[in-house]
Amino acid sequence: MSAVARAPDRAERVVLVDGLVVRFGEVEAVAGVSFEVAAGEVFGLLGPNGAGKTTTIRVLTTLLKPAEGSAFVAGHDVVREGLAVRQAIGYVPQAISIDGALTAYENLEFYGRATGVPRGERRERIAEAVEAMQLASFLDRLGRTLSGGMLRRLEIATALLKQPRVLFLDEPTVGLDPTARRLVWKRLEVLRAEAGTTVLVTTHQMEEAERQCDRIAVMDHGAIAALGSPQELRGRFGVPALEDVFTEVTGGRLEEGGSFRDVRASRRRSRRLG
Amino acid sequence: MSAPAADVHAGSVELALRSLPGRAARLRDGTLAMGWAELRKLRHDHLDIFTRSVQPLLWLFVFGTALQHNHTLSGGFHDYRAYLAPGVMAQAALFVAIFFGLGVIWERDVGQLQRLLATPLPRLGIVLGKASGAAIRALAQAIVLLAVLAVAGISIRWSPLRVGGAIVLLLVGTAGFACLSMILAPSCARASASWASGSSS
Repeated sequence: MSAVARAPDRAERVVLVDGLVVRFGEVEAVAGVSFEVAAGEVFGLLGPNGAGKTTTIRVLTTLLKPAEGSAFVAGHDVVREGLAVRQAIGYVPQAISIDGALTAYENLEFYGRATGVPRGERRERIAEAVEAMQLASFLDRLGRTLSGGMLRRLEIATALLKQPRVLFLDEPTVGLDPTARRLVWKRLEVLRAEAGTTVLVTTHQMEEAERQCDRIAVMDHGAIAALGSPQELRGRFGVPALEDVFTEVTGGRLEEGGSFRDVRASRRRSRRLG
Repeated sequence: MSAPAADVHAGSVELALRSLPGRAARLRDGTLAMGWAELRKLRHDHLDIFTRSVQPLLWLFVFGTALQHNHTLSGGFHDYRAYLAPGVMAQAALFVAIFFGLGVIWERDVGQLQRLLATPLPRLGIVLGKASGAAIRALAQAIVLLAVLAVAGISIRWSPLRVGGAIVLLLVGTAGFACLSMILAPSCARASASWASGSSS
């Protein structure tokens, strides 16, 4: 039961979430979520808007402190060992995180520095990322002049420079065309094979989740409503597609989550990403 | 029971002390990385320095010249514009500092700030890097202003020590005010936005 007894596990289970609760005032955004992600796994968090996916990711990336429960990422407590966690992860938030006043190359260089890629390796790592995400054609353009697809590819490239042990992607393929989407997933597969990177991804794209994720957790009202591999979930609910699982689990309600600000932000974002 | 607890405590203090050089190095690297980005941004919009200098120069020449002829207001200075110049410089620097506070709000609304906070960059390094960026912008404006003063023949005391002292004061002041506005702006914005935001998921 003690942390010591659990320690050997923690290395293999790269993400360990136990009874996580996050409250915003009266609202319980995450209400007792527990799950584990094994090393090298692609784990998908699905759910309607306001289900608590992003909040969960924000706790795991040390941006939010949970009210109750514990979470370990790469063997470190997200509350007490925040720095160690931040050194082990890559994070691409839902909203645009590229600096519009810097060029694509400068953004890469900046995040190389910020995530602590050694100076000697920086150039090489950037070249690799440029190649993998096909950024060469717009390296000298300012961030604010890039299209949605270019921005997303650049963002993911900046998160890959450090070869993080765990990569958190919050809706990474929103606004990407199918070709770019394939490019992103191909790169993630390569990274997983080469560096054993674990990926935790949130998405609305059922088809994508079904194809790419090893295991999926469907969240609703801040709790995990179903968890398993896509096949398992389909079998358990006796439905042909993951989309049906989603409807089954969330009760087919129209989504009511998300505040005015979220809606404004996401509309602005989708306009920007095209 | 208390002895091991004390040991643990001593251990953590020792650990904190041992990690001090590492922390200092991280702070230095973080500040340098942020400062580097700010310098790059300045390089991209170098025209911005000039457009931002228009307003202080208008102050100096329109108000300065107009008020110069009013002896009660100008207090009998030989050149009211020379008297006004340091104030105009400080005012321009203050604008730069406020602008950095607003920048933080913008960066929070897009995903930039979250992303920065999830990197190993020390918080203090982020703030210091931005503050030094603000100071450098203010310096660039001050240089434009000083050049205009020299060309226009407005006679301030051109002693290297005084001008240098004023610039040092300007740099420190702008960095300080930038820090202050970075602290104040997000909390003000949160208050004004709270009517609309219940929770963010």
